Amino acid sequence: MRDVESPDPPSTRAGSFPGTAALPLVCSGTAAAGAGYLAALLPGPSPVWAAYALSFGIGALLSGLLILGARREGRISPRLAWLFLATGTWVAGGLVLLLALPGSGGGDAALFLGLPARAAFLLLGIGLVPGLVIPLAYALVFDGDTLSEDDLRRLRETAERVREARDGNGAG
Amino acid sequence: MIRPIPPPPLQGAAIPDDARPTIVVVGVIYLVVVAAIAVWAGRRTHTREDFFLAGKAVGLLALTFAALASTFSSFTFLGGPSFLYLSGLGAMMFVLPATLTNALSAWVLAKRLRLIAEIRPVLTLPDVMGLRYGSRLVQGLSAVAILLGVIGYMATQVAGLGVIMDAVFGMGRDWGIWIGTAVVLAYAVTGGIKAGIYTDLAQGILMAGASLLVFLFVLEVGDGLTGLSRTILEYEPEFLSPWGLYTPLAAVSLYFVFSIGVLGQPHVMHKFFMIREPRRLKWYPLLITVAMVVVILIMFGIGMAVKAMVLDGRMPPVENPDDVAPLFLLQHTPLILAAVVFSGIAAAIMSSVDSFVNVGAAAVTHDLPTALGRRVPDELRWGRLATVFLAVAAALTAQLSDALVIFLGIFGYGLFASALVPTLALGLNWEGATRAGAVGSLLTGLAVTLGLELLAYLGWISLPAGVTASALSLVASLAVFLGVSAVTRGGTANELEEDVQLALTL
Repeated sequence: MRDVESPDPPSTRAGSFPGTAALPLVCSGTAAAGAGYLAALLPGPSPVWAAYALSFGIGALLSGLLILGARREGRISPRLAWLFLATGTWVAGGLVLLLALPGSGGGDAALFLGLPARAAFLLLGIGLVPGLVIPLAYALVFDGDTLSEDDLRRLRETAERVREARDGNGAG
Repeated sequence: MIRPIPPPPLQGAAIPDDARPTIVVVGVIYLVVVAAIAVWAGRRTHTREDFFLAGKAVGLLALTFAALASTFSSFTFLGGPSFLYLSGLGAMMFVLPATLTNALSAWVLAKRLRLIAEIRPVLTLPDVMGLRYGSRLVQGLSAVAILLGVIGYMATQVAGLGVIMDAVFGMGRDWGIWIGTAVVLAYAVTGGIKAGIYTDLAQGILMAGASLLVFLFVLEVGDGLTGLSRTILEYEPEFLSPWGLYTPLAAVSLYFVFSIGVLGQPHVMHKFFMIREPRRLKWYPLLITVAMVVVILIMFGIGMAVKAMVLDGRMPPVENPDDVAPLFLLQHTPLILAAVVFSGIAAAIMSSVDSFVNVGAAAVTHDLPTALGRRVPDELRWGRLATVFLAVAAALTAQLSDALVIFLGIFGYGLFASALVPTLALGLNWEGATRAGAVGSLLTGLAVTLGLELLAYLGWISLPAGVTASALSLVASLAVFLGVSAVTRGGTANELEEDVQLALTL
């Protein structure tokens, strides 16, 4: 991991969209959340768009962080990058949809799995679906895209080499 | 993860006298189990790695349930149902992100933290940050943030423990604080985090099992979810709107803070160091997500059921919202199940206190001395002493000042989130992160969180609905981290050794 010297890190140079979108997503998500909160701090009632901005911020930050975290040596498998982009879009889009759609009905409102449609969408759509898909994806791609036996062996060998070199320098 | 709820969470009056013997017996059985685990773990704790990292020998199930227990604390059983009863479905925004954030933390932090622990003798998160940024200042600042947050959390949890012990055993709040603290200390001092992990394993299984059973009783009492929804929609439809009685901004803001902020919770992230083999993380996110969904059912179910029964007149309105869960459990579930849940509440608090005190003791005996260029000679011994000191300080605070407890409890989560999310979650994954960015972000998190919470506590400022100091400080520290890192790119590079660099890029 280079700290500062490279103006164009290998990850962004080597990758392709949406793998390269991680940092822009984190930055835009932070900016959107900040804008939403700042708008709410202004005198008067909070503007309606503040919640929309915050929803976008959540989705962008989730996607960006997931893509950043799943990168290996600056690269990420396109299927994972698209999955993470879709996850953030799904969460943000779901929240925006709930913000935009009017509430419906009293005691005779249609229920879905025992809940009003909007409540069911919040709990099952935004809560449960990504909460099962992403962990399942983690397990399914773990060996190939997260940490293989070869990766571990390589790391342990590198650490051993570094330790020997350090000990050698210390002895010398 | 869950913001601590100021005491008292449970009134002694909620437990009728004829129910108390059963509840006391179950409570005593639980304490005996805890004591047995403490003795077992104490005999296996010989080194600082045993004390702070459980010897890096924790299995997948133990990690899963320990993380579950540490994450939810007593909130899901007590505060959660109360919030849902009072605020409607919007209260689910406290826990809904948890379904996604386990995978988020696994992808962003778990592997990298565990790989660094594989190749370097790190004990704590500040150790990793010191290594990443090549900076003792970063390590020291992150330790200060963790220590302040830990003190805040612990005082709140210990105060709640006193109330629970009083409610279950009828011993008075002050005695409850000290006896509860003594029980935690018994296993936290002898067995360190190893005792905590295996106590959490028992407790997490108990939480999940009890939640599932209680939810089945909810469905029976309420004529299914459909029956509950129909009743609530007839009298108070807005209760079941996605935001409940919150404003949309307030509800979405909760999702923001509890989804992104979880990446900075040290008592949970610290546990990633402990798994025996890094590749055992493979099924961790799915296992813990399923377990969390099951545990969340108790909050959702009891909150919905009590609301529906109050609305249709089957229950009188609950005067003290903290009694929502105890009332339902005592009136609509078998006494033995209610007793198990009450023990689970005490256990949940003890588990959180144990996790926090261990992280705090590490900050005192390891991180701060390291940041100052010193080394404590016998970290195991001093770790045990620091554990006692922190727990006693928390108990004294809890006993002496309710106002201080509430203030301390409020800023813990926000401080962790704002101080650690940028430097840890971004810093371990983004090559462009710089030392200056980390220092700026940590200082921003500390200053904004403490400043805003203090001003709000003194009544000098009032934040609009949906805007919290935790949220503002998290956004501010993220912005500072990204901005300062961008500006200082090209300065003095922090050259990482090859193995550390590989652990951060694999």
